[in-house]
Amino acid sequence: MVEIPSLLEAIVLEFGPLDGLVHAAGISATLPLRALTPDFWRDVFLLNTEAGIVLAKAFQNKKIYAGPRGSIVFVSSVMSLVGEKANVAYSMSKGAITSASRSMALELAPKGIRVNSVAPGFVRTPIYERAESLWTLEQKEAVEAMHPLGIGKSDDVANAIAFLLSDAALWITGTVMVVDCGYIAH
Amino acid sequence: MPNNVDFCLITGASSGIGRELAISLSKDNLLILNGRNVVRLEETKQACHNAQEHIIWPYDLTNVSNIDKSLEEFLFKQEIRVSRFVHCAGILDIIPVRMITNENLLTVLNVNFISAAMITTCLVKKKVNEHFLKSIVFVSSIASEFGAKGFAAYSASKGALDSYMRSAAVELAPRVRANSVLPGGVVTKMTEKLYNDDQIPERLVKDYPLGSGQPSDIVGMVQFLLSDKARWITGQHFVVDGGRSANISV
Repeated sequence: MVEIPSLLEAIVLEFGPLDGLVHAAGISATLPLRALTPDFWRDVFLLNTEAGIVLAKAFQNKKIYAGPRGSIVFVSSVMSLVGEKANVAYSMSKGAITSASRSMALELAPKGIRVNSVAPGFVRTPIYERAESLWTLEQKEAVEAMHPLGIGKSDDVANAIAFLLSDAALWITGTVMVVDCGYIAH
Repeated sequence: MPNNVDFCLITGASSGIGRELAISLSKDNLLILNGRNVVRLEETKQACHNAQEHIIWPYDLTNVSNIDKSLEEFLFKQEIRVSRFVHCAGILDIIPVRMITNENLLTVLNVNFISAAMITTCLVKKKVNEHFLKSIVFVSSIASEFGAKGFAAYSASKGALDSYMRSAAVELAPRVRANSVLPGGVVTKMTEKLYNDDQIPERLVKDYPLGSGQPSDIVGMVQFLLSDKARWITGQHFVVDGGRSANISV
């Protein structure tokens, strides 16, 4: 993580200043509380949360972001808003990045940088497929029943991120955009 | 068979966010413009792209008991059906709690919430609109989630709208998506009385990290939610407020 600022500088040197940042990298971490250890949740936190904050910190530096308008999007999760068994570490890491994005939004507004997060529901990704492989048939059917339009595609989330990066979202900052096919409205 | 089944109905199209949205959507969509003032609706229509293709449905939404009848007759007479519905109509009277009357409450609820629900009911009826409705967006307010002095009646109406939206979204899936957009303070005809105080500009700068909003700032989110890019988004509310509701700085 200490290399993130110099990596961004190298990118700027080659391609010019940045005006957008998306932190989509993340790991899932299903583990019941009784088995949870500090090392385990710190690993989850490191990638899902800390890396995002270090990236944002490097991004707002004037060597990286030249203005006048920028947009940062963190990929959070509906697990930052609702709970699930055996998901303490993951929920915590996603809740933290969503909360951080609100305060970051206020701090970076004077620089013209907007900060928002997107909270996807169940989207067919490698993370989802790993979780799915651990479910019983009933669990799988219960999850699918909550998604009348099917399990999401990566595109569905990518479209929301692209919207938040665009000038169509110029007055949007400090918000969470839930993209979940109505999952948490149930 | 109806002539065209791909109309977008916009209530409150005679001014503010509704008018701005109509102008933006008119480029690629056929619109039904609703409001109570025909002269101002005609102004909106003339400001639209392809002005002659859009149709005006003049109706005063305070009269909730005849909405379904009026809309049904209108759709049959025009031989058109509706695929998208945006409820922008809204009224805001600042009334302290001690002064609120039964009548105040009914008026604000009728325009801000009940009319939206009655139009939705009408548009999901098979005999009226077949199964053409695909997407609903309600323009709510951050007052649905946060309080302000004198806003109790208005907040209640917007809270009702958002709660209704969540259950309607669950019930109408997968055919119809429903979402709401929660603007912060946007300067429009509805809110201008809030913003003519000398100290207001200073307060706006302090409260709104991205500065005060214009109707055009709300349009992007509504357009996104109506589009197929949001095909997996339903039952949610989306805040568009320049950072206002994330801001508790003093």
